[in-house]
Amino acid sequence: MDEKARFRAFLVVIVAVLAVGVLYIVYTVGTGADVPWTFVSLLILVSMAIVLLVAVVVKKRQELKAGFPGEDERSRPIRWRAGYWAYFASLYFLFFASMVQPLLEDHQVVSLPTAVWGMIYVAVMGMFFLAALAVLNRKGVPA
Amino acid sequence: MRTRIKEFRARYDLTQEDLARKIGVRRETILFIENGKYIPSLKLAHDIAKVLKSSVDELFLFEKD
Repeated sequence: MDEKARFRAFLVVIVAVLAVGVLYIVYTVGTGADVPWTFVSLLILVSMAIVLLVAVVVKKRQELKAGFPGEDERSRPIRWRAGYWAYFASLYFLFFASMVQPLLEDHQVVSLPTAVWGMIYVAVMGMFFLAALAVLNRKGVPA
Repeated sequence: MRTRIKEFRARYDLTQEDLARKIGVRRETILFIENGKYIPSLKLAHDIAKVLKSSVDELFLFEKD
């Protein structure tokens, strides 16, 4: 499978995951039941994370099979710097979330158990990490 | 920084992937070095020069700003 076909397959899977989520919400609303938003959003988030992880692992495996190293002198500092940025960005997110959480609960917008906030924190850190990796891969690590 | 890696690769009929594999780095690293967006370590520059049967100062051209 060439690069374009693989990218198309990846997009199809992402769209399918989102479509299933939307269909589930439409069906649940249609039957008059309450939509369990926390469950739906977590399901979509986890499914997309799994798809992304599988894609990354498959690409890495192919590169290793083709004789390329897992990392080198350019990619190592990029990974470290992306981790550093993601860690601090997610700390700011946690700080912001801890200020917003009481407001959300007071107005009964959303009430999440601490464990779910923990999962959201990890997911946000992962997204920051991927975003930082993409930016640093293009721009390079600043001195 | 400008490089003559592309020119030397063509001379020995090597693709970026071939060169990357011979040196033991990722393909993107060669791409970024060729485009002058990444300055390699002295060791990597030396390894590239060795594979391309050249010297570091022949491959990497530093220009004054």
